[in-house]
Amino acid sequence: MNTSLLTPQVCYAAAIAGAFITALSQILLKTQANTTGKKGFFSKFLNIRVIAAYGLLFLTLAINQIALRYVPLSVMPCITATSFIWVFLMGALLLKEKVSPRKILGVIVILAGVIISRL
Amino acid sequence: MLNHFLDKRRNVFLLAAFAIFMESLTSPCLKIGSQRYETFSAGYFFWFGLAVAILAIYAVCWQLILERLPLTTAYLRRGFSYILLFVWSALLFHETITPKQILGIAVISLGMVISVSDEHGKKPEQKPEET
Repeated sequence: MNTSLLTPQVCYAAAIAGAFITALSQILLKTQANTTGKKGFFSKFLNIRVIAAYGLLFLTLAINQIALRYVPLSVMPCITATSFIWVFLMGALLLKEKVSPRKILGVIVILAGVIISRL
Repeated sequence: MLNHFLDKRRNVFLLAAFAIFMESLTSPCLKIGSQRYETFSAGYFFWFGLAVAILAIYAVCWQLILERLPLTTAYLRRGFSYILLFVWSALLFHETITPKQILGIAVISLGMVISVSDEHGKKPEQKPEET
């Protein structure tokens, strides 16, 4: 397989895309978990949103494996940490989850941490 | 039986700890596959498959946890797996970890603790049943 397309830049871009897709799949899982109620064990896992969410996770995994060819494992945390920010924003805006001042502060501090490790 | 076990909040956190540990092993598997084997070779896919299997166990645990904690809290807690990831990157891949990275991850973890501490001691909110 011709791997000349897999430059370090492409790998870093792939890692960032992977973080965003992870956040999307988490939101999908949460919308499903919120509607499950007291249904049976298997109905929690076998429905379209859960399957789509895990499909996205599978895709992220394939993307991350490509990314990890050049991205050091120790650098992955600060790239994947950006998905926390996406989940927080989507949780608040789309799912109308309760947003407390502490959670906002937490997300700002996480963002600062990402910036510090990449300076 | 499972629902009864997870009625205890402590058990939900135990399950979360197990899930976090499992999840931290997936990236090392992927990296072994993509660094030590040619892209899309048999070895590459073997390690991908192993990562998928580990993640499947994690996913079942996590789905059960998500139903019992608000998403933002549950997701931020997962960040503790990043600390484990540093251990794996030093042990398995002999990567140099710079002071900036340690400071960065410490600040990221602090951000997670700040968010998580908001929930501490609170009873889980009653979720409205779907009509």
